[in-house]
Amino acid sequence: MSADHELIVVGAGGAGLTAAIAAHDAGASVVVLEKSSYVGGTFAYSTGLTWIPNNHHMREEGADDSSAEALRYIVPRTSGRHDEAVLETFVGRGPDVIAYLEREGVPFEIVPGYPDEQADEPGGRTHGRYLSSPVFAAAAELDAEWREILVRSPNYSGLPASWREIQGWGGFGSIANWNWELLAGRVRDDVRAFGMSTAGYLLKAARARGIEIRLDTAAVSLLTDRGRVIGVTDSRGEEVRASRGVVLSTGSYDNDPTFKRNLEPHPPTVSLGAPTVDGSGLVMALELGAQFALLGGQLLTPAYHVEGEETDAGPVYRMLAREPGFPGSVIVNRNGERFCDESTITELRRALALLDPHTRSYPNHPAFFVFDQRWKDRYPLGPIMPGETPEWLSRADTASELARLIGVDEKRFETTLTTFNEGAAVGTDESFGRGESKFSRAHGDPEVTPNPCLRPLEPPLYALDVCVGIVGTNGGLVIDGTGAVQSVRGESIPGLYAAGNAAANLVGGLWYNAGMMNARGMIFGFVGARAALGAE
Amino acid sequence: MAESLGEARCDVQPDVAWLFIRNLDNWIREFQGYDDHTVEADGSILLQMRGKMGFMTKVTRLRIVITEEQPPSRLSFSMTGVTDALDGGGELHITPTEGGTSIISYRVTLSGRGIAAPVLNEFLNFVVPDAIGDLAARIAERLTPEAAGA
Repeated sequence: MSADHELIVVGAGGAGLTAAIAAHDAGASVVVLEKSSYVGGTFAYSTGLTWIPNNHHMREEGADDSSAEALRYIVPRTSGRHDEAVLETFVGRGPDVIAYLEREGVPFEIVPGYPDEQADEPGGRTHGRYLSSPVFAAAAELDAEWREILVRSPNYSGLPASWREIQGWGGFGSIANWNWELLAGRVRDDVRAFGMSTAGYLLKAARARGIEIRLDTAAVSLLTDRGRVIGVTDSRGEEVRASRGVVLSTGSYDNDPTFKRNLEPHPPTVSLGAPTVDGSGLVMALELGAQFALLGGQLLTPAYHVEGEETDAGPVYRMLAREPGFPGSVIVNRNGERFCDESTITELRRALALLDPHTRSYPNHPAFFVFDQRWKDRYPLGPIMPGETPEWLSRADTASELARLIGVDEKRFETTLTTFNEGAAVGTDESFGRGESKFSRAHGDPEVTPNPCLRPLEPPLYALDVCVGIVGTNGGLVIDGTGAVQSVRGESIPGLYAAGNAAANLVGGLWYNAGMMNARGMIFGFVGARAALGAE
Repeated sequence: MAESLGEARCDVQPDVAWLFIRNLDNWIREFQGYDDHTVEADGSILLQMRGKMGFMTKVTRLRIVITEEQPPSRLSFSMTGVTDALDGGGELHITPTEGGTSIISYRVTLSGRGIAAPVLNEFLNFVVPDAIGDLAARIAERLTPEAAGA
């Protein structure tokens, strides 16, 4: 039977759209199958941060970087679980893929003042590796039908500003300085930002090429012919065939409780990404004998729920990433004790999900984000603006009253605050070193001295429940340096490629940082599609 | 500031319509986005509304308090966001017709407050018309002589 297309891309997120655009530009006929009614996937739900070492914008600004320096930074962090060829592709091809996308109408710019998480370490950089797209004027760039199917992330829809603009206005700690009239006009004009922006530009580029995107069409299983993947069976029961193969960019198992329970020791987690990401791409590949790597599993993040925010899939959870770095706040566990440097998300997410091997319990889950009135009056908490205090927030006039209200150990909580406040008053945190690293200080309030992350808490105090969210997974299908999915016998499965979170993070191994998943998605979408077509 | 207004004719006399309208509990369910409510006191209700806002369903609670009564023609009330930074209010008017029946008209406004108010107001422009609906027509539909008598 003749093939309908040369390449099938399963999933219309950042990785899938990049793969489709690259395939089209390599001269192939390509179709994108998308399970949901929307385009953008996990990328569109994300911050949009894209971590590309040695990118051309750094060179334009005279910022020093190289592939060797990127490897010097990455390799010591992977616990030896990276794949040399995959890492080489990430570091070596990343700058080219970004440059290609920019030529094709998907712009990026440096996020100023956003250092590597461990910028002080060998190979680390304080500036330039974090990219994001400028805002995307959806109403002007897309026709009405496609504008409506571009994902509207519940996390960022009310904030149509680019990272570069926000940093220029002083960051999230200086929200009073933001240009709210400009933002209001952009809401009116349906301007998108964060991950939605890059997804919008990718969608526009795909539409400009006439690439077919079939919505509400899930791939259910892979079709093979003598061991080679030649297409998929879709959710309508129809066979869709492709002469050069299939790129799986379905995301991972973010919303699948069985994968999570069977694979990982973490406490229950909530997904902050696309609700249709449920492991279906992994299942299709595993049925063909694909190799799977866990690599630490879910990409954890502290998360919280704002009362009254829901989707059809359940409550909306937001990432608690910036807020804990601002001074006048701590995070405590049920014992009323701090357990990490709250301003460094890497530390926070690890500590939140920690399993105590002796008690077989999670000592830091659930946790409570505690902040004072000055914090509340100065910083935003997701959609809750400074000065606003919804009645559902726990509030108390003393530490002991707050402890009783939220159910944490009263005496220990008081001791925790006393100890924290004594150090914070002189800008030190002897317990966890909050505000000592460049990354930590970049997430504080520059107007607070001597430590931008520290100030004693003064009643009245507020508390918010913190749970463990996920923004994707490190676990996924094992690929080689071209994105080809590997079998359990260590051979490429002919015609099958994986990109984005469907592929294991063989760049970072057991490690990951913000922006790596988005970068991996686009790089391996590009490389995998071209490899499938024999263009690599 | 987002606004919703409208009017509808109903088949009862103004004084009968007034008796119905002066009690918030009689017509609070006629907001199109109505989800639930709690009577806090005479003339004070906590209204819970539910509506689509982009990709999200938003549940918001507003405290509605009667601020002025001018029988049998005008009822004024304030609206204050409990879960969200919203302020507003509204009026219901009863105008007699030559035939002895009534015309119900209303105007409801809602604004965001705080530094993000300009952005909030843009969202309100999208959601308020759906959240309020045609309040006058829905009240008029309820205001049959039998219902008013009850």
